[in-house]
Amino acid sequence: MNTPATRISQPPESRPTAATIKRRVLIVEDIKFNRELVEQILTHDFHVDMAWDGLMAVEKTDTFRPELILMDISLPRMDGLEATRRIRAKHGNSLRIVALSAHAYPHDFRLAKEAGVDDYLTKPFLPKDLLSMVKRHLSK
Amino acid sequence: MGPGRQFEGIVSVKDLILHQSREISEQLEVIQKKDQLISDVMNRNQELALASRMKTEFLTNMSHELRTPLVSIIGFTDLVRSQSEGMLPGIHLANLDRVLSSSRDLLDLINNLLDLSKVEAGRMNIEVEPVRLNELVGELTERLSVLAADRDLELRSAVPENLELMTDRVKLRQVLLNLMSNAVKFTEKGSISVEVDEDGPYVAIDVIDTGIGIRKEDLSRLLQRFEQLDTGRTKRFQGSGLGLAISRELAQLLGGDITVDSEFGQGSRFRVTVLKQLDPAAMQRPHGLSTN
Repeated sequence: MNTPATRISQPPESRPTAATIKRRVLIVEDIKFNRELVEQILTHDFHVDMAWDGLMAVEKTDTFRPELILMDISLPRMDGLEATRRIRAKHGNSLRIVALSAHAYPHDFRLAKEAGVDDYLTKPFLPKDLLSMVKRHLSK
Repeated sequence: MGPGRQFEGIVSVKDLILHQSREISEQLEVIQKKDQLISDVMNRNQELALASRMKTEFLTNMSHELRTPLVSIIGFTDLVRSQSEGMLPGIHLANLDRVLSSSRDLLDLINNLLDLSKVEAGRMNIEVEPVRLNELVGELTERLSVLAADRDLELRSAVPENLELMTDRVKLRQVLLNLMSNAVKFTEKGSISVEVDEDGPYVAIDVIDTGIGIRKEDLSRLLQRFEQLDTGRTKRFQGSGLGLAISRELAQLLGGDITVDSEFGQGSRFRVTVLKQLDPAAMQRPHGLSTN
């Protein structure tokens, strides 16, 4: 049962010290289940927010100010490639963008690179692969 | 009735001219017919090219559409599986493993479809890197061991430790995975063994099983593309046809081929041969020749 001592000691992630503040990751994904999946994978280690399409993703770069964006490519209103170009035009290389897409041609990787993504993960992925990729990029 | 008969009597200049102009008009007709044929063939070619492009686009789109739901199937199952270790009874964990294993099979199948469209579109890139064959075979044996243990199959491999190839790892892996998982699928009891035989610039990798084997009349068709989709045979070659045909194309991209040797009821030996030192620039790529 809870003793006062254990109640006082908070889990490390909720302590607002500089070293333990969670990094901000924006998930851009139009499919509900996939959005929830990525959220569940990342929510323990990161502060996550969601965008449903490319336009919303561009807006969130000003409000949520993510340090890393997981960008789906096929999206309503504005696709991930155009959103990436706009975000790069606006913020330069101040944040990292990882494309998460079910498009798996080398051609698709090239288009994404040209639009300005830093990395590319093909769907479907294993949760641990996504987690380690995000961690790797945010440790740079 | 030829026009010659009418000119057996006196040949007048007028008749001659008439005859010649008739010949000319007949020749013109022949030429027109030829032109018509040529343009028919050209139109047909254009239609075929369009149909082929549409098929490629269709496969690409289907692949994307099919992968999307698999994202949450594989992702959530893996999450539940990894978070319920020690919390769920063993049988539930094993069942989750089965869901994962089947979803990976489905993903392999979808990737095969995508590969097929890539090969056909000539968009398959080759990336050569050093590949230690024993590590690759070891990794695949590991992956298939759960499936093999389910059936009490022995998985053996004899690969020289220092054999290093310069080839496309992803493609070679795919070919071997396909051959090895087929062997496991079609073998009820006995063993699967992987053996390696070096032959000059080539290396032959044999996947030998003690499974159901293949009938003689089916052997030659086995490596043909889409044979699997031929109704009526589906049961006998369950899940192998598409993967095999693609594996063969991949083996050809790696400078080799796949051959089969089988005794119905006794087992099969699938042999994949690839170049030890692949130099894609030096190869006449089989792109585009594959649509026979």
